[in-house]
Amino acid sequence: MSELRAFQNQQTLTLEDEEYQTVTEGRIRIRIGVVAFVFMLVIAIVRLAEISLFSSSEHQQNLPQALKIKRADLTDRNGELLATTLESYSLYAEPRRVWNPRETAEALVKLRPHLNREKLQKKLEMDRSFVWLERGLTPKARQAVFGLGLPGLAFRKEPKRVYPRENLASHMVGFTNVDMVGVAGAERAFNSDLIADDAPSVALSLDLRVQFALADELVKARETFAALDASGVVLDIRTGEIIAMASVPNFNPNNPDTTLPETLFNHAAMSTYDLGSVFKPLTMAMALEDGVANKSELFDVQKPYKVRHKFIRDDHPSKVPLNISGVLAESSNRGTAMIAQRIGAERQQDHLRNLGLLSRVDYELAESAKPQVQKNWGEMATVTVSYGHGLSVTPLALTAAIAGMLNDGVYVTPTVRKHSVVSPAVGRRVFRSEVSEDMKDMMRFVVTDGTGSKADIPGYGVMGKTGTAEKPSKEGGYDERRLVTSFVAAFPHSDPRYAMIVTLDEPKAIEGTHGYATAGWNAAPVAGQVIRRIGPILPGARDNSQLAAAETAVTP
Amino acid sequence: MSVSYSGSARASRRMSWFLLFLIGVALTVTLYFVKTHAQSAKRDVRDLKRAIAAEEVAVRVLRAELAYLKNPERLSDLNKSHLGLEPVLPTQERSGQDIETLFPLVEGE
Repeated sequence: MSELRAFQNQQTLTLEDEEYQTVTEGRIRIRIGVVAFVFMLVIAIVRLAEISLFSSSEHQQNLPQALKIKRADLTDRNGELLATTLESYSLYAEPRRVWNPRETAEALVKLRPHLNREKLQKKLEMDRSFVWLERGLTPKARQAVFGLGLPGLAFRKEPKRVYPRENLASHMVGFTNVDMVGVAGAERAFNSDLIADDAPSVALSLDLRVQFALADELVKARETFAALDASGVVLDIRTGEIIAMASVPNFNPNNPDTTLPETLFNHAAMSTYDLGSVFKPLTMAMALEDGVANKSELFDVQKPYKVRHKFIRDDHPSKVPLNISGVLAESSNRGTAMIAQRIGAERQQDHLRNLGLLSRVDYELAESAKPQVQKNWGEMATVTVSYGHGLSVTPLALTAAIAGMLNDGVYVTPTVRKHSVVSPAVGRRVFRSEVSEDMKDMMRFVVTDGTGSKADIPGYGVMGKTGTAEKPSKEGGYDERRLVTSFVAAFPHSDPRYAMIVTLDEPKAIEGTHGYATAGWNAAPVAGQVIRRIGPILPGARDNSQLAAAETAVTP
Repeated sequence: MSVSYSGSARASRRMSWFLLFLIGVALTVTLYFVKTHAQSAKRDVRDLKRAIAAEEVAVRVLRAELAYLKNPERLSDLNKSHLGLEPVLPTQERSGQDIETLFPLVEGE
């Protein structure tokens, strides 16, 4: 019995130990599991918190590259694009990765025939990791090269200044260097405006259509008359805006490095000439302004006239005395000399200074030449300057002066920037309104009855003045075979709005000019052709009073 | 000095801690998803900016090509070969009043 009890006790103890052990093990496992779960949860939470709270910037890399075009566009006054910045692709090679330099060079030359095969092969055989092959490829060219699938060739994007109008207005627009810094023309003048952050495009004053008409006629004239160069300017009299300024030969600003240096020269603003009789209207205006001559007085231009022992020569001397209007229409040097003597050297210089003819044209472009002024301005200089000899100025400067004379006597400094309506052009008075009115009639008379008749385009009321000047001779004096001919014009007569000049350097006589190479036979008809083409384009160019008069005459 | 809690207070305290823990976890998870969403939105913005930049480049190229095609010299040549247009002279123009005079309305027509 006692054995049985002892056995039972032993059995009970054994059973109790196993249960306890099992429960204990279970608890331990649960605790380990909880600890592991909590540990994992804490890690997850900490990581989540870390990502959420502290990882703000590490994933912001690889942001899109901003368009790295740091130079704004240039446009004409109507928003037509003149200069823009595009992405170009520059082709480079990693010679160490090029499999076969000879085959690579051959394949490239096949696609880009202007490249030199030997030079390319030498570059590709270099023991270098980088070498430029060609800069400034277009997207199409880049795609073509890419399509070759040649190992070791790659591209780098670079900004490139592009001038889609090519030669047109190249002197005004200018160009940039390889670092995209403006070095000529408007590109240079407005460099800081163009490179500012988020800079808007800069609108120039020029009208591309007018620019083309002017340049086209100048190109033709240069060929027709075998001139060394030709230049012209069209100016808005009221605002001073340069609507067109052309000089031929010109250049393509897309390739300024390969162009001839002489084509870079803007003759309209950088060449100074003795422009001849185109100065005479200014002399007449000075005399009327100072009250030293009147419109009815007659000048004895039919007789020889001597100043300081030197005869003043008229190419086509009048046989009768002329009034001041006749002196201008017949372009009499004698009559002009008589008037200039009355004005005097001092007043003449004052007037010329006021008209901006004794200093460079103070406009935005760096391309503006200083006039060549006589050191000893005596009586003889006063006389010769009165008809455009002995004072060399640029065509632009003279056009601005004539424009001031006809703009109700108010001179406005030329500008190549489009005029803002909110800020009216500021000018300075150079002549009285009455003088300006008289000069309008006198310059109209030159075209209707004088030397400028070939510039008369019906409906535009063209006013003008021819100028033929002999170039200084190397031996001293003047060379009558080397001429500079000009025609300065303005229109319409009823309400002058535009002034222009056409200048031809050393034009030659041709069959149709009867042996003459003077302005009335070359510069005047060229100016007329320009007016014929630009008149319909320009607002306010039509002479309504002239048209009305013509219609009245026609109507029965 | 020891603080003793009754059974219900202890349970309440545990429940509070548990709730706080749950709220913390919920906030963290929410923040994570917000952050993820923001990053996704940023990625979208980045892609859009990249697309805009590419479009801008394309537009600039097209504008340049258009300017080239609109060159007055080219248009002039096209005009000469296909149209033969000439500048309009002022004498060829008429005002509205002139038209009334030149072409009067006839009764009955």
